[in-house]
Amino acid sequence: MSDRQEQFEEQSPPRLVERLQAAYGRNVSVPASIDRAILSAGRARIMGIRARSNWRIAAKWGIGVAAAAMVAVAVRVGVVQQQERHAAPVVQSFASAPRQEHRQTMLDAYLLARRVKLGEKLTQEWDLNRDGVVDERDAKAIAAVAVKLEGGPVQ
Amino acid sequence: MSTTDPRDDQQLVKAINAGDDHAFDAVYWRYRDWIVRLARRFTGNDDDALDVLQETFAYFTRKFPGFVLRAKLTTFFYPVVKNLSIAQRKKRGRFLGDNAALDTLAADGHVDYDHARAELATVLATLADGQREAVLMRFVDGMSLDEIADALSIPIGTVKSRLHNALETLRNDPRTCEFFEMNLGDPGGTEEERRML
Repeated sequence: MSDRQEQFEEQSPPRLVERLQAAYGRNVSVPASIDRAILSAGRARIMGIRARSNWRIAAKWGIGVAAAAMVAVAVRVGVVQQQERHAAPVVQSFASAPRQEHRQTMLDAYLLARRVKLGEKLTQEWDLNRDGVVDERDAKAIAAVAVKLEGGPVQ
Repeated sequence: MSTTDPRDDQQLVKAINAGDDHAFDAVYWRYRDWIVRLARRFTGNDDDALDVLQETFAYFTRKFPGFVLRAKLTTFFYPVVKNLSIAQRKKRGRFLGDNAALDTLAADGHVDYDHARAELATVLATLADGQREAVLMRFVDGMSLDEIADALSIPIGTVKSRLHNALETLRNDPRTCEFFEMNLGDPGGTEEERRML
């Protein structure tokens, strides 16, 4: 507010102000019931705002956590797929493993079973049990060998 | 009941936006009497003024969350109270003009009602609507020139000219000139400032 405006306001005619306030500025008595009604309605509304605000915060956190979980799952799936790709040569080496003294593991059994299940065409080199068919029984055979190798002598 | 919350209007509004119901209480106690007086002036009676008080705060709370206050709350409340009062008068079927409402207030049977008050009402009724409103906002509602300008959405220069012209009319009218006698001495300030009165 400028100095000029302040001076203008300070010079309001006091008797006129007094008369105007007496005529038009009379206080109105507000019943306590109206105070209570307005305040309770207002508080309820404000409490609603607070509740919604809290919910929004929770929702934001929830969305954040869910997004983080999705990212983690995606990363995990990616890692597993990558492991499978890298693991394929292990399976590939399975057929020649006996010649190279390759240690068959449960992963070999799992990957072979999975490829059989997916219907991949596999060469006869995968026919570990020599029954002429590459199927789940070959995977089970690998698993049996793996258990013996990894677990030591079967008791 | 708290009327002494140290926070200013903008801080209170910000707190209400954040869900602080105590801030709402503080606004209520700070402006209740001001609003109901203003409403009574517009409606002409206590009952309607109390209705307007409730509707004003109902409207106010509906503004949250997200209410942005750029000035004092008087600049927000003034047009709200005015419009709700007009609506209230229409609803009650008493479609008094502003002048009639003012006359009613000036002569509503107070013990201290006197001839001078009636004459003041008569002279006020001769003012242009904008001038009368500026006078009442400034001297009865206690609003600053900036607040009046914001509340009416007009330039502050317009507020000053309306006040100046209104006061000039009141000073020159024989029925109200006595109210200016206190200022006949040297009021100080520049010649231009003295002319404003």
